[in-house]
Amino acid sequence: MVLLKKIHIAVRFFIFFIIIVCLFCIFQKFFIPMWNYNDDFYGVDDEITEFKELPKDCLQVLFLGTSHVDCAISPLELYRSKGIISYNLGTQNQDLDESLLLLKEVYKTQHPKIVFLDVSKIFGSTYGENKNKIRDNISLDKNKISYVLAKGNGKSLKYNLRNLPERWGYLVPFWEYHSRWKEITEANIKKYNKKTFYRMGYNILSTQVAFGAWASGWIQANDDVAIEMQNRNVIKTFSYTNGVYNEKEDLSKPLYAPSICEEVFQYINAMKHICEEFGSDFILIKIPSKNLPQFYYPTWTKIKHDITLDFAKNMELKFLDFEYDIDCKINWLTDTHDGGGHLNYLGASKVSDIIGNWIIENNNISFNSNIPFLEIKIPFYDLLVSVCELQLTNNFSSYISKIFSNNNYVIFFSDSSSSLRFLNNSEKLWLKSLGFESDFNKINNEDSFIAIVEDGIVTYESISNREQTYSYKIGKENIEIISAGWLCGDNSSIKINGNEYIVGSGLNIVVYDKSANMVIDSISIDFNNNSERSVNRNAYITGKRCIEYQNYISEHPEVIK
Amino acid sequence: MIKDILSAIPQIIFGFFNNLTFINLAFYCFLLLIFILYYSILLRVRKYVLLSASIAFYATWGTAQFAFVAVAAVTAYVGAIVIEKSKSKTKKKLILFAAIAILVLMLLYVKLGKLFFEAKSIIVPLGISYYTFSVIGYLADVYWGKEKAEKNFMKFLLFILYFPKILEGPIEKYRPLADRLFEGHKFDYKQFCFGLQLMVYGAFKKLVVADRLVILTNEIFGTESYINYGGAIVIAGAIFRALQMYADFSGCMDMALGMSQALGIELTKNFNHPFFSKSAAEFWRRWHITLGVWFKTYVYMPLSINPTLIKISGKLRQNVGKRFGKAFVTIVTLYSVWILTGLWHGTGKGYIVWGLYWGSIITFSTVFDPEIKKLVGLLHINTETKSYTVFKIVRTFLIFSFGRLITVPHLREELKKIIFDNQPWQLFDGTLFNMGLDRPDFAVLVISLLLIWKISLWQEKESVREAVAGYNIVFRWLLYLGAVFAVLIFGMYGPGFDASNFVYMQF
Repeated sequence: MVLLKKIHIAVRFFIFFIIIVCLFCIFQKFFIPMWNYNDDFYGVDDEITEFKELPKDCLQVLFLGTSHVDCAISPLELYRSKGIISYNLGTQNQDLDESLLLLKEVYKTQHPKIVFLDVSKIFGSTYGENKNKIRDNISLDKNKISYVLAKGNGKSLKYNLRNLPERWGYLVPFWEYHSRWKEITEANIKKYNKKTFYRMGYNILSTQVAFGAWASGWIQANDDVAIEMQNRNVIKTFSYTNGVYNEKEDLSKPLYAPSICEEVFQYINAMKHICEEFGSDFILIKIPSKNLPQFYYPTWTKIKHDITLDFAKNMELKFLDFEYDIDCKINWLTDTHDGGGHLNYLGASKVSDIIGNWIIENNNISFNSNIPFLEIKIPFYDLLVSVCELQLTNNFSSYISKIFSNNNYVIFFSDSSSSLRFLNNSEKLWLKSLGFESDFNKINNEDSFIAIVEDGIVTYESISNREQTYSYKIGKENIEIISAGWLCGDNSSIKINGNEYIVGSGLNIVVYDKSANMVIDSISIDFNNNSERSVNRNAYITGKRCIEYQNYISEHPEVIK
Repeated sequence: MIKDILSAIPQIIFGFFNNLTFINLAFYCFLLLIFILYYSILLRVRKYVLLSASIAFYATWGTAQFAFVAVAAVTAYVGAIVIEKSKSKTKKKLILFAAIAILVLMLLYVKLGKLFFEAKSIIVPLGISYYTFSVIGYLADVYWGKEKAEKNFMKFLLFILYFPKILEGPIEKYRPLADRLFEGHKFDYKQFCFGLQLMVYGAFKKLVVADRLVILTNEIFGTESYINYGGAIVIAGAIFRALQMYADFSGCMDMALGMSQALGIELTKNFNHPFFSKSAAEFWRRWHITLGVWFKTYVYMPLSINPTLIKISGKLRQNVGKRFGKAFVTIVTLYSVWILTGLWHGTGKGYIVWGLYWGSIITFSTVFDPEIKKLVGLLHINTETKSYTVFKIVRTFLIFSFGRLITVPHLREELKKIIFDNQPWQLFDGTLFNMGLDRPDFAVLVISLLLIWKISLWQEKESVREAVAGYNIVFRWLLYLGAVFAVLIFGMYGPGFDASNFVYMQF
């Protein structure tokens, strides 16, 4: 009887304990922040989830590293053109210890023949403790524990071990995130909805900011500047303390002195050994990036190239520098997302092609086609690429051709400054051929213009010598378009449910995707003094739209019929 | 890596089990270990588990601290035996005073040491005020013959160090507790569950309520912060501080009583819903009960029967008047008790004033009780109505809340703010939400306070835990799980929070 009672009590405690643990795990899941909806980067949550869903032992090639590699290599392009099955596990600001953690995670299910690591981070010393995007996506196991114990903070492993309680949150995220109860929204629950993943880790970027665009008026960092800075080894510090002006000179440090620290050596060495153990080639690469207006950690210079080359030689590793050794034919005016730092889709296509060729030429990698899990992803990927290509189209006529050829789009036109009067004759004729009935020859300084195109057909157009307003409805969306000519207020507005989508002066075009119920692009073009006929966009908004569209496709697999 | 980990194991253990309090994660691992050990070994050796656990708990605060408490234990232990063995009353008295002097000197070193030494160099033993008072009481009881001197040092040491009560008390009398500690207890499912429930409730008070309120009170009464706020906020701050002190101290007590109950050892209740008190005197019978009882037993009572005082009182009866002569002893004893109570809480002059403040209120209400009753009669106030009861409760609460203002820094400026720069609109214009707690946190705070108030009302009528135990298992478990997760989710702990130590730990 006593024994029965004891068993009864033990069972009760056990059940209660199990319920607490289960609830704890559920709460923990919801409390972990979503690392998916950054402004312009493929969310780490999705990237790692997509990786985990891959069939076992399917990968031939793996890419690791920072955002530079994340947005420069498209595995689906590599598959389609070179027959290589690869995955891009590059993530924003990925530290080497995170690369090591991911590599260990990879070898649980995959055995790639080649592992590429982008070296953007080897000159960094930013092994911050508060980095949790990758950590939060890796389940608790011995790899994660060893990562947490060794997580660089400039302190020794023993120090970290002694201060383990400070790192509970790394191991048990609830500890760190429980106070997020006030931030929990429907989206936190939705994040566990089934999604379609179709990018193989590639972070597609569709914005275009030419190299140098950010740096006008500033000294552009380049190799010459780097060498000059390297020679400047006097540090002058002027400080004003307690009413006294102090001047200090330090002759020991050059102004620019990139170096690779011992910790980097250890991580690279650990990755090398793991790859050797599994029979993979471990190769260091440098994705092309133009020197940015300031020397921040991934800014690549000839000095860094030479140091990395020596480093690789000493470690008996291959190093491919796509900036200094292999020409990827990057057009730094059109192929970069942010003035040289990261490549957009145009640049990524070129790098993917070059690296694919290198892999085929230098490795015994078999050609693959008709791989079911990849074939399923391709239509989704192509749909996204079509939108990105539109967002990267700069020429007016190419742009109009693209939007007229897609029956999913509703296109709104509103002109300000009576800019259509600057169309040349061939443009007028071409527009006529597309279905515009308006006589663009008669447009004067006071004229306004509104048009709507649906399913590639002009359904409404109006020219007036007064300001004009037109209201339209697509499903539940209310659209209001205003146009006023140069002498009548010089105004243009295209609002959808009260939100303004106008970019600038001249002809404004807003492209609305009927199936996705979202604006996918908006541009403006001023035909006056614009012989190139190049369009204007807001890069930041375009980037956000690309992310929104990516997420839309993920959450609506029915877009591919 | 493995080598490194193995060689670091002692460091991990010492690093992990460092400065344990009831709000460390490590403490709960420690407690779990103690529960398992305590209930899995033979009944007669369970006391040694408690002793080892208590020593280990204390040692996590440092060896110097432990040496301090060991000296106090040896002094009281030896002192009591010698007192008991001594035939001469004078010798007994001499040893009693010598032992008490050593104990008080150690206490004064901690309390006043900063006046003579560098503050950092002062060793502050954990719970020194609590165990010092406990052993002084024990010595006095042995001296008066109310208590037998303990011969078993292990037992005596366990009484002093018993880990659930070492942080903030309760200040226990020797015999009943020492015997309970040493007898060993069988596992009692009901007591164990009740203990855990009380612990969760205590953690709720501390981590959800007190540590939210402390953000506000630190902001209002922190250095120079008062400049930013009007007097209305200062008044609100005084109320927040009162609630914080209650949630903090009673939370700690609930945790202490709970964990001890789970081990089968009942500790003396230290709180009995003080904010339901209708008078200042009643308040102190409900707040920090064991301290009040200690002062009553070892200061108030001996002073009341002190021959010199009685002699003076007799003379005053003859010369000044019967009533004044009678009141004289009350005034002297109450003021003595309250000045000492003030000094127990802190050594600044603010604490003496705080003691005088309470001494005056309680003395006034005791001495002038007939006049107050007469005034109430003259004003035709019906003292039996609910509204009058509520008035008395609110009045007592406000007396306590504003009393705490005496010990805040910049008292003069704070009072000026209250009188000349009140800015009452700051209570409604969103200022309150810009003091470290946003609206959702405020909502949690208010709901939690209402919950505590409701539970306290319930506790006044019956044992809540007994009542809940009578519910069906589904509702009961939902309640328990709700309480556990309320603490886990809404508790102020983890990165980004500096869960403050218990306020009364500093005393």
